[in-house]
Amino acid sequence: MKKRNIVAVLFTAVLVATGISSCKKNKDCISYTYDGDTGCVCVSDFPNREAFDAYVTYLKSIDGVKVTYTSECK
Amino acid sequence: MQKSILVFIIEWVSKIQKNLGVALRELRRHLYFYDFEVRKDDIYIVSFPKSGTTWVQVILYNLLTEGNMDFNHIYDVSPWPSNQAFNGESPEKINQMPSPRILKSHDSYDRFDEKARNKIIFVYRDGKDVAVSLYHHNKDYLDSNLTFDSNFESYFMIDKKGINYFKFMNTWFLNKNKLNILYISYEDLKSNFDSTVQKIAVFFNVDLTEPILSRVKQHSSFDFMKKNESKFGEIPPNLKSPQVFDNFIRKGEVGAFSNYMNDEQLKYYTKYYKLMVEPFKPKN
Repeated sequence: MKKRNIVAVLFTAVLVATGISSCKKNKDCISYTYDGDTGCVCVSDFPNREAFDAYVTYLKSIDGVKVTYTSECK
Repeated sequence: MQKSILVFIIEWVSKIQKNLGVALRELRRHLYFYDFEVRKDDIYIVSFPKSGTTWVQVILYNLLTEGNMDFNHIYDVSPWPSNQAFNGESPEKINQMPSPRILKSHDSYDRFDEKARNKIIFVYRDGKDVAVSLYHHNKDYLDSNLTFDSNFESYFMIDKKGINYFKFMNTWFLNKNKLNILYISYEDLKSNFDSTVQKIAVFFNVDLTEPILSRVKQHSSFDFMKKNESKFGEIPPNLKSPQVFDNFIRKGEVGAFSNYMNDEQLKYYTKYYKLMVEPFKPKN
């Protein structure tokens, strides 16, 4: 019974860790729509994460811009 | 049925021809840059076309040398490697030039080596004025029947292939590889010439004395450059329709766009400027 519990806990931990890492991965790009047009940018387009985050904040401040996090730009 | 097959074949052949043309140009470029001697002290003046590149070439040439203007063409003292590659020329002459070489470029950001630490001046200009200047340039040099609208579409509509104003400015302003760039605007050169030249001088560790500034001013003035246009204009390519080749230095105006751009174009420009350029524009 104890062994089974340990396995269950480990299994849950692996699931949670995978979930967190995929969540993190999902936040590396954003797609946005504005006035009928769409765009997409990733952290890799910027000198650093800070600059990317600042841009996302900027985009969100524009009236009518919708931002969605995504794993990659297609 | 037979006709549609014929149309399909013609379209297919023309597609191959187009792609072949692009592939051959890339091959020529690779061959050129294979022989091109890269130097750590090479200086690049980069810009979107018609943004003041030649103006800054003359300014920098006069800051870093004694300003001898007896050359036949500015490309003799400040060449444009990518254009030489495009024309199938050899880099032999450029490789023999003394250092530091002042090189012109309209290349996209990703063409530059991410580890390069060369000094780069990035010259930028209000895109609306660029649209007007580029239209006149292409009409004079490439296609006398060109309309402003079709030219605007080619260089400013985001989904068009080829060099695009917004993408170009976006990547160069973003500077994700932290290249060593000094940003200079055409408008600043127009309104604050002395202090902008001082900025360039500081970037290149030049002591900007009064005689040097006066020489820079004289040789980069609109009147001097217009009077000596053959030294600065594009070298005519071999093309079919009638062209004008003495209008490279045209007006040097700021704000002429209102006579050319319609409301729709202005709205489109403003939208993409706001999304892709404005947040990354260097702060002075």
